[in-house]
Amino acid sequence: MTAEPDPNRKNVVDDDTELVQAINAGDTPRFQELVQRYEHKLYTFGRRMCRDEADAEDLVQDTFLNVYRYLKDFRYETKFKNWLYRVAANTAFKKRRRSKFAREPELPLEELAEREELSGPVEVPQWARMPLEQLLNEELLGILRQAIWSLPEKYRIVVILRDIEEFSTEDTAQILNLTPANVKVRLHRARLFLKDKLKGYFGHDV
Amino acid sequence: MMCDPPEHSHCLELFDKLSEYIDGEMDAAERREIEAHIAQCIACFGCLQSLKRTIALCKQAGRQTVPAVFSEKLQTMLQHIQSAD
Repeated sequence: MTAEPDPNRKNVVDDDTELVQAINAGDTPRFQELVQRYEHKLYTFGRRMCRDEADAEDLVQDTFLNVYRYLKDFRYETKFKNWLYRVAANTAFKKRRRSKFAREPELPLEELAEREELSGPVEVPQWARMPLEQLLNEELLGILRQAIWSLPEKYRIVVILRDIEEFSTEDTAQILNLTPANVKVRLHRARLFLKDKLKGYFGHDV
Repeated sequence: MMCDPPEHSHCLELFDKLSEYIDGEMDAAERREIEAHIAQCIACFGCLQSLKRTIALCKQAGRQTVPAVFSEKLQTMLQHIQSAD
């Protein structure tokens, strides 16, 4: 017995739909087009998720392998890009679970607020006032990348999807199977953590 | 200038919502509340500005070029799995 189609189901049509449908209809050589379309984005995702370059490459490679394997299961109920990143996120989580260092510490808001010294005599720090182009240099970006890697994974992935890959809160929630409220909480804590690291880099009084 | 002590709890309450404010995910009343507060509290204004700057830097830190060697490796993997089908 086959399941009845859901009459309320709506297919999502986006820039990838035609290509994905063609591949699923048997035009598998066009999978190469899909790889070319997303290799840059997934490589960026992999490099921000993984400190080690080889791990990042494995993550991208395994993601494309999983996409190739499971593309037929894609039901066009979400944007293809969201489904792709869900596969990438699940691939990353599986890799962590296999690691002997699989720990997931929390970032309590109270601690982050305490570090903020909101009641103290402060001024807007110089690094937040300077033009961005004057502030940017490779050392600073390196410090920030280290800080992103030092975030617990569940916070890191949210800040990468929201602030680097620029997914909306709703899309991030769909990719990670979280509520939008949960995404917002994790994102805020991750940003505060990174801000604290930058404050440490620039020094308290600048 | 900083918040007077009775208002400090208000700072902490708003501190929790600064990202939603930056992302434009608040209703008009909440936005007005934050804007009225940061107009008077330099501590919260400083926190907001440095949080905005952190987000801008994150976008820059994300830039990454795919090494040509890795791109070729992906193509080879692809040919391999397609020929195995």
